[in-house]
Amino acid sequence: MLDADGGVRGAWTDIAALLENGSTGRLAADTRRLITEGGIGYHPPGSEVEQPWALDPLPLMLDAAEWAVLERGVAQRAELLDRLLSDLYGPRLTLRTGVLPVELVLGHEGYVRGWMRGAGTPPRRELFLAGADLARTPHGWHVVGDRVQSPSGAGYALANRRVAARVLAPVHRRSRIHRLGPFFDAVRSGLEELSPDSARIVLLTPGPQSETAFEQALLASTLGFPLVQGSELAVRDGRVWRRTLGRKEPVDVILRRVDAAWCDPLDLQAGSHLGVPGLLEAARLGAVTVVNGIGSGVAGNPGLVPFLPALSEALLDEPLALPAAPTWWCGDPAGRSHVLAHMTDMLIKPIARSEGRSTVVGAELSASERADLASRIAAEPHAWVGQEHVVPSTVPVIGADGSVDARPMSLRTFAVAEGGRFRVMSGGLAQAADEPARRLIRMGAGTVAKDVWVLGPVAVPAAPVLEIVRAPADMLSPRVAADLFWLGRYAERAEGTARLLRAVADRWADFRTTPEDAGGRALEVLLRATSAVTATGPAFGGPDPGPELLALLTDRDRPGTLAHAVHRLVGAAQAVREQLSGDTWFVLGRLEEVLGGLTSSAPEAADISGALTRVLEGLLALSGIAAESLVRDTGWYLLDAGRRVERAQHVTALLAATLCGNELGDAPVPAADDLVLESVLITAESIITHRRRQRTGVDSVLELLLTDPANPRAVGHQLDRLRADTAAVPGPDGGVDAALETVERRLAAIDPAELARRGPDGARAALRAQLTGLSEDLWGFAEVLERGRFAPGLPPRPLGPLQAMG
Amino acid sequence: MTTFRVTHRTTYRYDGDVGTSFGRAHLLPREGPRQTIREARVIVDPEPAELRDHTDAFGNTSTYFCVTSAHRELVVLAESLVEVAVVPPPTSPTPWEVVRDGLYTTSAPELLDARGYVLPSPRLPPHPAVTAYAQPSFVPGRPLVEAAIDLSTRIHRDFQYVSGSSSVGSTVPELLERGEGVCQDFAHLGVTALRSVGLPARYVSGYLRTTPPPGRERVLGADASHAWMSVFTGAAWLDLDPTNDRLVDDSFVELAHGRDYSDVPPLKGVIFSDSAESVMQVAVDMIPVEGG
Repeated sequence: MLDADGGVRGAWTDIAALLENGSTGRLAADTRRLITEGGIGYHPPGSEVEQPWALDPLPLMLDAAEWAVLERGVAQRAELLDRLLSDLYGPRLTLRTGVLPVELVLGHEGYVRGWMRGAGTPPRRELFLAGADLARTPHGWHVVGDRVQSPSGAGYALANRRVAARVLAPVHRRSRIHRLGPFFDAVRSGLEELSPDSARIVLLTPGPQSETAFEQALLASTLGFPLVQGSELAVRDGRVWRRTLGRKEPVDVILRRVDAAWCDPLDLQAGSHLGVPGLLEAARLGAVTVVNGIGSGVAGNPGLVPFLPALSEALLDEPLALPAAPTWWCGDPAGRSHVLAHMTDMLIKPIARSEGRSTVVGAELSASERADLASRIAAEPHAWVGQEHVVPSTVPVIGADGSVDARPMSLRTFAVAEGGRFRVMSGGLAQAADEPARRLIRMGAGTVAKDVWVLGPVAVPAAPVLEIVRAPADMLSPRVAADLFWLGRYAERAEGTARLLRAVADRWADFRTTPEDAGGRALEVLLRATSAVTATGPAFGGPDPGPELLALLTDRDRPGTLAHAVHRLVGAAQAVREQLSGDTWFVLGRLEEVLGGLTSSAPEAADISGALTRVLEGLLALSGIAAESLVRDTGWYLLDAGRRVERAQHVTALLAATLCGNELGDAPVPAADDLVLESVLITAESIITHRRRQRTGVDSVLELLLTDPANPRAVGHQLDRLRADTAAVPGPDGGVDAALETVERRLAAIDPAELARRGPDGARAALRAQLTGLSEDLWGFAEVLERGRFAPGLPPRPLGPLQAMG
Repeated sequence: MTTFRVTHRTTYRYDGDVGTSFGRAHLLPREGPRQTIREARVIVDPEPAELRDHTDAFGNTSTYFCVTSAHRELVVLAESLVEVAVVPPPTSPTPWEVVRDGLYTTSAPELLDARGYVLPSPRLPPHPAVTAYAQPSFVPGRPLVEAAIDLSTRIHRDFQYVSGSSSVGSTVPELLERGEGVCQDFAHLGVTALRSVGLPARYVSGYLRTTPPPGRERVLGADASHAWMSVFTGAAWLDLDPTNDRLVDDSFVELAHGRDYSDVPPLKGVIFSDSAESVMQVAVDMIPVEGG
């Protein structure tokens, strides 16, 4: 930010002013809020759940002149690596003429022999999206790493911009900042160049558990291409197909986020569930274009660095524009002795990262660790490089308390092949280290991201940041269909559970203030019913239901609880986030916050009831989004079907657990009976209607909650909706129609007046039998729907290879 | 010269339906200085939707197939007719260090190719115990051919051939520890040992003609797939069979070679099935054909 004389660099003037007027704490808080609301997440490896993305509000500022140099260098580097890959998988002139030592290439795990092409085959795109990690030093910018496998971060750059542009709205409007949109337009049209039909492009993801699942979904929705997992693709007849509901669609281009080794369990990593068997074969035949190429990893080899100037001359006929941090390859005896002699000033990097091999900071090693590393290098010299440790310049970062300090920073740039050249994103993903002395800056490892503002020489017309294009939902894969269905189910399950718990908490509160026999007995029935409806087992014991009620709200690890349903709801939403409206995250974030905030071990009924009201507000907002903001396409019908199945099931279970038994004795206490009925109606959100109709008695409750087609809470209404929903979802019937008919027939046979009568023992055995049957039929239907319409395919299994026995 | 008819039948049986099977085979012999291929084909049953050969990066014939009709039994049959020539045993007196250092003197294509085989490979990382094992054979100044034969002889002497003592995934250090294995393990040890002294070494997959015990008839299907090692002598590759302590001659048919087993498994695959169990059966016959 400061120049050598301590003055503020031109581009930073506005930012410097912000730091001076003491608004840093507010900026940081605004940033965190927008990240939560936007559901911008990052899933650190090994962590069970996604965490909020860490973004510092202060952007990295780059002026036009500085950027112009970088832009040219980054584009040239991508071009060079692409040409190198074409050579290494084709004629291998760089090896044959000795420009590159064969050990550097043949000894690199990213060199995929199955990716080799025969002479005379048509040209193939090798590098499509290239990332370069840069560090700024007093001597200018240096490349410290190339990301050529499937570089991450471009989506986060976009997310950063959306947040920073709002947090720093006045500055953002005033500044002449290059837009990011054109880069993503170039990505889209670059992919379309590779495909005769833009509908045949997919983004291959490792799945919602992947580290950067958030940005993969963001990229898919921004580019308008479906996000697919390997299990949704299949190779048949020499080409790649995508399974959608009831159909298969051809795929011409795969933009992959799955590392090369995991792309094909047949020809690459056996046992991989992330890939597609036969993909390498289809790609070798040219029947599908996979970018970056499955063999691209070899170009991310840091051992290439010392050879790049010569390669640039040989392949591009021009000098290398952007220098890299000085690097020595240990496969060269002179390089090796230099590295061994200067280990403490270097980063020691394996040419390919693998298990047990990663970059180490020489200065952080003990003498014995250094000796150990030296012997590993001696055993496989070609596999190691030493890179001079460049000291990156620092940028201001706002700490948790609003204070500002200087941290070393790296910048990841992105280049994409489009229109015969590489176009560079006018910006990138800057990352500041977690502490001032950190020598290695890695995504997620405590680093904090920054937006990158490239200032134009002329005013850039203010344009809205890229609009989200929703991927066409009429060609949903079975996996996405299942996730949407379960999203609906968990949303409704959470809502039903929250309503039930609130009604019980309220009944408990009443009883505590006015302890009457009837209230006590009703509470007893309701607590037992709560355990039954949530299938959490009879766990209410002792005089105080508070702890168990609280557990049913907050224990995420226990199936049946509200927190469990919300957790699953969030998980299902994350699995299909490219299908959802942005507001969803705002609501889901609030839900988790409310539940996480209930920490008292001896809660008051009022606390529980209050929290449940806030949870219900959130869940209602969620169904509001579904009702008002989602297009009525296949996805919507699936979501709705999930809700309907769950609601019908919930009402059935509630009635079975409250009205069938003889808990209140052979001679029911009428007052207690009424209290239970009232709670049931409250839980089923039908109390007002019931009162308005001025009806009393169990038969009227049964009618209202089971058969009344006008009551949106009645089972009958859910069945009508399911009829419409299933008709709107494409695909073979698979027995769905018949299964739904079974449920409908069961319901039609119900006679509320008949079933309301108690037997001589005080129980309603006939009602119980009917409700049990209804429940079984509903489960049966849901199962048939899942299995018949969106069963996930079987996972690939390696077929035992043969051992040579002779 | 000997001509062999080789049939290699692999049968997988499952206890449930398999919807789709994908396969990759290295079951067709490659052309080479020692052998000429007269006929070669892979037949898959049920009829595959796709069956395709190509020459892989090592020059081997690699077969891809995909069966898309539901099946409970999959048969992969490879048949070939191969002429194998007798190659005179090498007598070169060149010391092994001279061959090793000579690799880096010119960029002749065969030298560049050979250098790739000095490097560790996916299944054969360097290991200090293997390096130590190689040392006694590679005393300074010893002719490479003599040293390699000595290594092969020592492997034969030091390790027990015990069928079933190892698995397809066994490692070289495991062999050193247990002292017993099968041909794949011995070839892997030899290749790793040769590389540990800086020499290019390949893993070779193929067959060896078996002779029935005296007075017994040859039993059909009793042969097996075999594996051995190959070392670069500076001008050519010398194949040695440590399992039987002999040089590879016209009793051997080569299928494919690579850096190690993982480059050239005779057959591997991926199935989509909820079948729990599968049973695999292999029958190999290598029958000399009269008059070629």
